[in-house]
Amino acid sequence: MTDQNKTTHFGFQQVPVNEKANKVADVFHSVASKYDIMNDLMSGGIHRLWKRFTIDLSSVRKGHRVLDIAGGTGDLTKQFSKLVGKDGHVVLADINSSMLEVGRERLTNQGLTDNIEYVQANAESLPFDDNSFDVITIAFGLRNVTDKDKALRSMLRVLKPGGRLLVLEFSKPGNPLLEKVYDTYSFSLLPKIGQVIAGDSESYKYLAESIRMHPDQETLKDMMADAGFVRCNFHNMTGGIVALHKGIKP
Amino acid sequence: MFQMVSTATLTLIEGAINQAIKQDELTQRKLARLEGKVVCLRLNTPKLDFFIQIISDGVRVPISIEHEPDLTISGTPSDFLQIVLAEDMNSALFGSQVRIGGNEHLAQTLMTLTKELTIDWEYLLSKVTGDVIAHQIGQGVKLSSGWFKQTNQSMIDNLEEYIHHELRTLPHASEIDYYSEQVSELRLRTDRLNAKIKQLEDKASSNTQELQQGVRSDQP
Repeated sequence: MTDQNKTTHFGFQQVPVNEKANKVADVFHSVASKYDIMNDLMSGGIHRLWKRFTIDLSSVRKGHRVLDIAGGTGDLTKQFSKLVGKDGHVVLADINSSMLEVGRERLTNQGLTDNIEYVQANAESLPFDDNSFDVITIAFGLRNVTDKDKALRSMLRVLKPGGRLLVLEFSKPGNPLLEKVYDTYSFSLLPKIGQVIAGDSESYKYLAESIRMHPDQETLKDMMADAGFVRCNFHNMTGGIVALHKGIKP
Repeated sequence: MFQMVSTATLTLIEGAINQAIKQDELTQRKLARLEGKVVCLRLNTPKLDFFIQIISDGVRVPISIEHEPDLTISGTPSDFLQIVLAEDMNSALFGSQVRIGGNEHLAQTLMTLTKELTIDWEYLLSKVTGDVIAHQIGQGVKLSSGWFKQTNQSMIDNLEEYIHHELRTLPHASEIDYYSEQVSELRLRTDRLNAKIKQLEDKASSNTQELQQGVRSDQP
């Protein structure tokens, strides 16, 4: 089967593999300017705690080199920049130029310029040397990547031995009742909030659908192990609505 | 859920400390020189570890740290409270059960900075509750604190009286003072007696010499 005939999921739709990246790009071009306010509204501000927990588990220290993939508007990069100090380096990478631009403007306006580099990059083929980062994070980005296995292998390649990958992503709630409430919220309320705030209900419909299509906790853990990571584990947050996966490069 | 509550609590604590640091530029500059250092506050009862990571513009209070902290300070919550509330932290630390492991110079520097740092809890609370409620809570805390201090002093006084007068296991401060005065007086009188004896000895010696010389002059 050629690439033209192969399909993959884009939310609940099936689309040709080579079209998914462009469709995802359209979604993020559309929401970039309202991304932060929408995150606060959709999660009730809890996304800040999810990200904070990710930073806590990253064990990033002074002098480290950190890669923040799908870094978007720079929430994690901002904290990493302070933790690594002047001797360290943080790369904010995003496939989407609009998101990268919003992130660059926001961090520059906050005076964070010394140790941050902005790179437009596809997670499946990261444009960095082998063994060049102490820590890699990808927060709410992996589910949008077309070939997740390829992306995980690419991350493994650029991590230093002993370096860690942290994947923060929506996952599967453990409690059936919570799952039902969450489903109702995601498919009924979320697109309406998107329509009112960002003037775009379709993108938020995609968000809800893409979360359901993303691998659950155990599957993602196995994918990380298959890619070559060791000591893989995960922490459920907010009843499993979000999970933080961690893996170490041997 | 506990994880999220802990993370949220630590976020609030971190915010309060950083707010206070931001208000004091000198402390901020001094702290920035310690950038990258990690301090572990280890509570013995209940067994809990709190971490403080110093960053360029303040501190972080992470839920965990995987590498060895530069400094570990361990003790009970009341030990920590006594040191924080003490006028002279060094003296309080010397007499306390708190144990310090790792970089002691870092401990000294941080203690000085902590003493200089004043956290305006009422101001921080007002951001959440509004000015009126924050002021009421602040007044309540101040009154309770005054009552606590008074009760504490009264308890100490009663305990002192019981130990000194009822149990008589320890002498009262005035008795110790009297005893010290008596010892001093005795020492003075002993010295005086010693001097008198020496004087008499000298006199006796000189009389003996005169007598011996007289006997020699009487001989033909």
